[in-house]
Amino acid sequence: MDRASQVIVLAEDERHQQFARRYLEQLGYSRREVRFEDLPAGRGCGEQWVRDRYAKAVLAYRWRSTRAQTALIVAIDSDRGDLNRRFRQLREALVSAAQEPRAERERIAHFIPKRNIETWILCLNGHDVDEETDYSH
Amino acid sequence: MLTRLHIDNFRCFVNFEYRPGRKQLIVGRNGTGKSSFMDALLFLRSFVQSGADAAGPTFSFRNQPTQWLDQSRQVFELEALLDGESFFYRLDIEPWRGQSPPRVHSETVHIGERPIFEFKDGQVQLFDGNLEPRPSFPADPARSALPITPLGTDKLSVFKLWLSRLFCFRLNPFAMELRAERDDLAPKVDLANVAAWLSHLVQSSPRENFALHDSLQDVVDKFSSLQLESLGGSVRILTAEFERTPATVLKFGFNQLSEGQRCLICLYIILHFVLAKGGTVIIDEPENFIALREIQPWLTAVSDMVEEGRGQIIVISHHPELINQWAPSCGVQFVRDGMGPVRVEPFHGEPSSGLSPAELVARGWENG
Repeated sequence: MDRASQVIVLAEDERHQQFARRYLEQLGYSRREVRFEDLPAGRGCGEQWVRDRYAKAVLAYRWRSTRAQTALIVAIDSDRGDLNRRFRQLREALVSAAQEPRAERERIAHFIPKRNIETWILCLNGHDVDEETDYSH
Repeated sequence: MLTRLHIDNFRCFVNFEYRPGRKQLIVGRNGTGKSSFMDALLFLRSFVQSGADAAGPTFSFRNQPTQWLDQSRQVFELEALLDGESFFYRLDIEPWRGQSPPRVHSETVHIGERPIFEFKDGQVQLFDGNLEPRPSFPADPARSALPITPLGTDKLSVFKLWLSRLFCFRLNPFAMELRAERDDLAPKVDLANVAAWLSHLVQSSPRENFALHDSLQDVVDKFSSLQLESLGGSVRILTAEFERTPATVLKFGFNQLSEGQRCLICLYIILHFVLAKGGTVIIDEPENFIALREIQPWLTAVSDMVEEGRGQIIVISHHPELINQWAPSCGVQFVRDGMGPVRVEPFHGEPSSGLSPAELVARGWENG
């Protein structure tokens, strides 16, 4: 796939944003090529916030993708370790909005740590971690 | 970094306590003391830095006591964590009383419980490394005595240097001057002296100047470079060059740039020359004049820098873009009941409302 000219990030909190931002930085994306969607107003319901906005974000991505190489990253914790449940919820969000499911060819990436994003951050910083322990604090 | 600010008997601040984080957004309704907070810091900084007379015109409008109190003293306290030690500065000042001009009642600096500087009853007392008092000397109580203490490698100098790098900004592109007739070591609050300040910065921090240009080339379309061009003697003008074609450039005086471009360049100057070097920045409504598209990249750059442990930033803003990105994690609100004193509360976002943080504020629902 060609490089996207802009990446939209829908994340459940600032830490997820930072993870996506650093990842994209490694891929050579400048700050101006990355756009973060609004964050939820407080802590605790971030995943609900993301799921509520997911269908709109996908709709906007699909509209824009017909004109420019755009990508969408959705960063959301699985929290209790059931990845399939989270994937299913996102899929259902699209169905409820009368949208097609995410296709392989689409530049829509789901960043879903099995537990919390902190596990991935610690792992990439060289710490010995597992996906069962809660490292969020 | 600034860890605590206490203000008593200054405008709407009565026993006001504020403990800022490394990155903070201050929100609040009109009249809740956000600008006065900045004025208090401006007053303190210029009083302690410049050694100006407290009765002088610079300060007469700034150190106004709280109208509904009848106290004979104003107290300002600053705490800062510097090189792993907690510095505590306290200024107890008698404001204007009728025809009596302001005078310093006492001024002290401590590290933890240890005094390193005391100014009381017109006498300055310094202490050596073993906390033994040195010979005292007299000073004028109409002014801060800190500026007259020698700058060296002692602890007091650490505090003074930090304070010299605590900058408050309220950008005003209409005031920004094209000419630099000298090098200015410090910026004015509105950055009217951007050319003179930048002249000093590019000489003292060439590496940061490269980083500035990298950033500006990324965010300002076709931007090539900033130049300080000599007009003869010590006078220079600030110009910006833009690529017209790969081989040709167009040169503009800084005053020929749009207000938004001027402010954007200034925001990146602050980022690279103050924050990146560990300074503390308080900035009022940085988004003014800036295109919506450019606000978030600057916020992200600031967040990256703070995350890397460089500098401290306190932003005052009403802008939805800032509120939606920063309020959930680092927002505080200034709150006032009627015309009472100001207090600081954490931003009360309620995610279950389904509303964005800015929409909560816009509806006046941020307090639940």
